[in-house]
Amino acid sequence: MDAHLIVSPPPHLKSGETAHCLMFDVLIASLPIIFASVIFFGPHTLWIMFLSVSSAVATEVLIQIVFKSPGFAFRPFFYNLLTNEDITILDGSALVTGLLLSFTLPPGSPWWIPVAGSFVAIAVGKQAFGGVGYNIFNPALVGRAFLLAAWPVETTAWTATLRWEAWICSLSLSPQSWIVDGVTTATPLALLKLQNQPTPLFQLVAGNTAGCLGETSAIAILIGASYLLYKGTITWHIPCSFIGTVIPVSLLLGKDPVFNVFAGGLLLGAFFMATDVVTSPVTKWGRIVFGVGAGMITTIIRIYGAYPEGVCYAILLMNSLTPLIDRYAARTYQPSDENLGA
Amino acid sequence: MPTFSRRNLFPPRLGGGAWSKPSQKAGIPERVIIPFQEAISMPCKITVHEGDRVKAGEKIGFMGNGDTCIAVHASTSGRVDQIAPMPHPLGFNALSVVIASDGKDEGVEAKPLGASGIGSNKEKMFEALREMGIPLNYPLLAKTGFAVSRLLINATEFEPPLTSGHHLIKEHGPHIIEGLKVLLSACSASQAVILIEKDRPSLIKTLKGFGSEVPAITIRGVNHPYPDTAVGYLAKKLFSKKPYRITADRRTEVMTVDLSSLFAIYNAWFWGMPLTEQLITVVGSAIPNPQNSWVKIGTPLANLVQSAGGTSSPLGQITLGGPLMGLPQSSLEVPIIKKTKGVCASVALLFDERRRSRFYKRVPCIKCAKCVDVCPVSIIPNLIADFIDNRFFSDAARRGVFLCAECGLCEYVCPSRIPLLELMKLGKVSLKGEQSLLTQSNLKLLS
Repeated sequence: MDAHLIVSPPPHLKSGETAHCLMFDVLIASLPIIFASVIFFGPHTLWIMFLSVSSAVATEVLIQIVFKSPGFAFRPFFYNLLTNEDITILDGSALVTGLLLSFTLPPGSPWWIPVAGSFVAIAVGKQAFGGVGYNIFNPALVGRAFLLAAWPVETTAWTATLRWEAWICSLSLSPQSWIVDGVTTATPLALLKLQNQPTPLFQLVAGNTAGCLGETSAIAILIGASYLLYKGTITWHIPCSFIGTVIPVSLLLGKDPVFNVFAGGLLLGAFFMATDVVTSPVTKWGRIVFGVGAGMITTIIRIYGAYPEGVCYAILLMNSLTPLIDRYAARTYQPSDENLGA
Repeated sequence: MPTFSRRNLFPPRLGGGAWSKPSQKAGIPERVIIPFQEAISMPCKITVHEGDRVKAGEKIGFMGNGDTCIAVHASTSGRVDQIAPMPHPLGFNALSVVIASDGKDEGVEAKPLGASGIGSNKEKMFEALREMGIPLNYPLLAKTGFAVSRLLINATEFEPPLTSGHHLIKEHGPHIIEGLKVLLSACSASQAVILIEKDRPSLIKTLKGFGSEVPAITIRGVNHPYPDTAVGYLAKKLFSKKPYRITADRRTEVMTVDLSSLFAIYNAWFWGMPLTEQLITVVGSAIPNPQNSWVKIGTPLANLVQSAGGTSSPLGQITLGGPLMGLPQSSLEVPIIKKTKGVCASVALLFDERRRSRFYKRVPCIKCAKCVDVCPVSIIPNLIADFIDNRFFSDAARRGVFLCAECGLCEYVCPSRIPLLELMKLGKVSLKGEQSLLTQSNLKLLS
């Protein structure tokens, strides 16, 4: 009995999961959010999402062709795009970044807002640090912060939810009638902060309020989040500590905790943005510290800051602390402990 | 992987075929190869010569010296064919005795240790166990004056397809408890903890049923199986109030024993049989009939594969041990050694590099922390691997690279396909030289 046997290092068993599985899980989980945004803000939101995603993917391809793959063969273009190993669009991270960025944009944004935001998100937020896995800040939130600083008027021009029957009745063959002409209004947080006018809880949970594309419907976000938690793509530590900090801190400062949880981008930020694997700590206690810090900063910005919304900056600030948290949340060992495991 | 199915961090239990069948006795092989060395240039003494006739269970020499000395027995009757260096599972050529079997399997006269009246003298008792070829931690016993305070028995099956340990409990539960009682009285230990998975309630019931009369025996259910190499860490975690601040002499009081040794103690004590047989699971994609069987120590792997219905033509890889920690073998002439739990044989198709998609190649770490969540000894594999990749070895040591039990779970879950386990081994070798490789010390313990 003789055989040519293969000798390879253990383990010989692999779970079969790859990095793009995690990214496409986020994509599947955001399907209810896309659906809710179309219902509440009209089909124009799909156009914004498409612009944002395609700009993100195009930016990634452009930068990788220029900097990582100078010998890229342009013919046949699509074949090489999908098979060249230096072009990493197939891992889905640019797609997810573009989609999450579009969730933080107002439904009535002009076309160049998502395009410019995705370009900055990928070019500055991700590729400038070395690509996927090396970025310090959540790229989608980098794009959002850039847009908020560069075009404050366009990125805070909120429109009220779409009245479908009126819109369908006015449809005609001319493309002018397809555009949704929303009524300008304010988000629940801004209403409370500037005019001291609360929004009914049912509207907040269902999502029938003004706000960014993806943040208004709490139900859709929770459905997507439960899928992510079920699949094990995210763990409960960051969302629970994030939301669990906002509730007591807003109670302590004399605000309505339930309103603070369901209004604004807290749920979207806690389940989809803060749990970004690359920019959050690796240890369990580190994740809890991350969530608590983000929750405190969010509440403080919301109550005392100039902006009505603070989730974006809270997560970005905690992202910058992630290496520090990782450094101190892990145990260190003395040289005398080195035979501990044997 | 199905898109909507739930993802588990731990590998699923495979090998249902071997678990549902009762264990069987393997046939007597034409020849057995009994290695006398467990490490390169280990001292040994062979008391038989080429051409001698030996009986099953006859002492044919001993290996090691001083405290590590342990007797070696012929596992079947026959003629000593050859005394020469032969391939050892660890990858070197060890001095071995090859016995050509006569097929009769005649045994020597059995003298039960329990009837010989040595129960009062601890030193003589352990000397007798040593003569029976039962692998225990003799250096620790000698150091503590044959009085360890605690025993830790890892009855969990870490390798997903192997079930030999659980079969031993299922079929010989009372005998294992008897062996444990003998060992408890021999080393005057105050506590013995048996770890077993919670998802095997029938085995917990068996052990509790027989072990309840002895108050020193505790059966403890754990959620996930632990590798044998992590039991040192586990002992600290179980028995110490401050597991991370513990002095050297306190932790050495815990002795870890495995199930096959307990069963061998029972056999030696009540029936006078030395350790010449081993319960082994034979599984894998190249094995048509996965099974648990009692095989003679020294049986070549080729016999095992044949008796389980496998042939050499589709065989791509064969490992001693399961698919997570098993050692791949380069030859089918390698013998089974003491403490082997199973053999896993896979077909060659699985190793075809050309079939590998580019998604299954190494990409940068995305810090998903799955390796951190799954690590049985609570270190941060991705950080340590990053240090070692960039040659910051002292930082890797500070983050606990020497705690690594080399179980391979981190590499199993890694979605970025980073060779975490190889990087850990590289760090250990670079820091301490080849002697620090756990596979070496571990297999000294395993063999």
